[in-house]
Amino acid sequence: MKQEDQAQAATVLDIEDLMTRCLGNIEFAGRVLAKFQESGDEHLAELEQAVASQDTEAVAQLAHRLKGASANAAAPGLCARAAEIESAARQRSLREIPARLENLRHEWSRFAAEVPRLDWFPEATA
Amino acid sequence: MRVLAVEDDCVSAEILENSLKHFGFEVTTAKNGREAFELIRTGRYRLVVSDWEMPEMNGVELCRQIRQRQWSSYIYVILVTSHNEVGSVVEGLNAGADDFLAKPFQPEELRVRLRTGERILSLESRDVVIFALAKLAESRDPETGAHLERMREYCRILGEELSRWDKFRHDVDGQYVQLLYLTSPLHDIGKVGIPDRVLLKPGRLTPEEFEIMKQHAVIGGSTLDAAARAYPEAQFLTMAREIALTHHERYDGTGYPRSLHGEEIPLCGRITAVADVYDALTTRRVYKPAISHETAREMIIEGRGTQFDPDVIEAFLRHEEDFVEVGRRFDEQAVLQSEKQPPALVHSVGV
Repeated sequence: MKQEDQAQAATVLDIEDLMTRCLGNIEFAGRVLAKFQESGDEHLAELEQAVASQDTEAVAQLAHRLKGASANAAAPGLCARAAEIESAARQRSLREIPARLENLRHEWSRFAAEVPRLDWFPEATA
Repeated sequence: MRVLAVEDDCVSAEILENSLKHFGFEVTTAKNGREAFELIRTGRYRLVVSDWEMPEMNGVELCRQIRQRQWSSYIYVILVTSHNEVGSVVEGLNAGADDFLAKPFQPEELRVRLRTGERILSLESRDVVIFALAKLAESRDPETGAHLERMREYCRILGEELSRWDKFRHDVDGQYVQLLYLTSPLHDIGKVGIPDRVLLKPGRLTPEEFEIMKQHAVIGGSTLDAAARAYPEAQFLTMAREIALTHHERYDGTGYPRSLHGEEIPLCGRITAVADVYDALTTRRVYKPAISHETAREMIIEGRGTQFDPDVIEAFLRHEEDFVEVGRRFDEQAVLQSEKQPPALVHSVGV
């Protein structure tokens, strides 16, 4: 992996943190990431739907869940973006939500693009 | 040890489960508070790690529901939360959470918090052993149902009331009430030494048989006395000995085994006497039907100053409704229990 790629990936995924959380089990870390990606698509779609129907309660809850999942999957960027949406929803600042959702989508596509490029755990991608 | 992990998000659940298994726990997962509560009702879980925010029923509500019920043993709850402001912690504590873990948690921190939980739960083992001992003694005389369970609740109600009186301020505090709750079930432990022909006799006892029956107070007292001498630091043994020895003494000095008079009878014995008689009156026994609370109340009032300490009677009268409520609660539990068991099993237990 090139150096600039590694720097880019680090902001998307905190590998050291992920490994601590997975107690050093590389195979398990791979499974967590795979699960996170799979459920993340679904969660994002649910969140978008809740934003469209202006259900702030649901927006807050779904953003909170995504925040927790990202924190556990050691994705600090996604975690921060989800937290911004949650706090806007809790304060009922509806106008701010679409822009924040856009930021989250952007971060999500970065994550989705970066993670498969990580070649440091072959078992996970096999 | 078994842990119930409650988490709605599948990624967080996966990490939590992996950590718990890595630390040697047996793990069951639930997706929300409602699902968790159903699992807790099976009685298989004493250690719960729950997320705070979840759909259907959140972690705080789960704690409240757990604390609202009586369980056979304590359930230790750790809430995993991203709310770290003081207000949330207070809300969690008020709901009955035992500890908190900041989200996302570090596995090592989870391990330390669980270890604390296990330590707290192990303290309860002493109480369980005491109660098991009491149940063992009671097992020879199975007609009494949940007598011990009800009686310790009655003792607690009376003790808590007296702890608020100036007169008892120095002697009766939270610790005293706790010890009373813990040890009152041992009051009849001496019955293990009474021969079956007397203990299990369905009819009225002859004067000679009654003399033998009365020995249970002395047998219980001296058994616990031996234990109390061996472990003088264990206050519960001292109280248990006093209760076993004196719960049949009467305030006017005509009781047994030592005909103690008034305040010569330790307070714990005077409290247990009322709780024991009230329960005997209001529940069915092989030789008599259950009588109503109102009639039992009249009979107990009649014993004021003769059989019973007037102060304890006063405490009883101030909390009559609580007594009725305890009786009702255990009746309901008995019905639930018998519904759970197939009829054949109920029959064999009854025998």
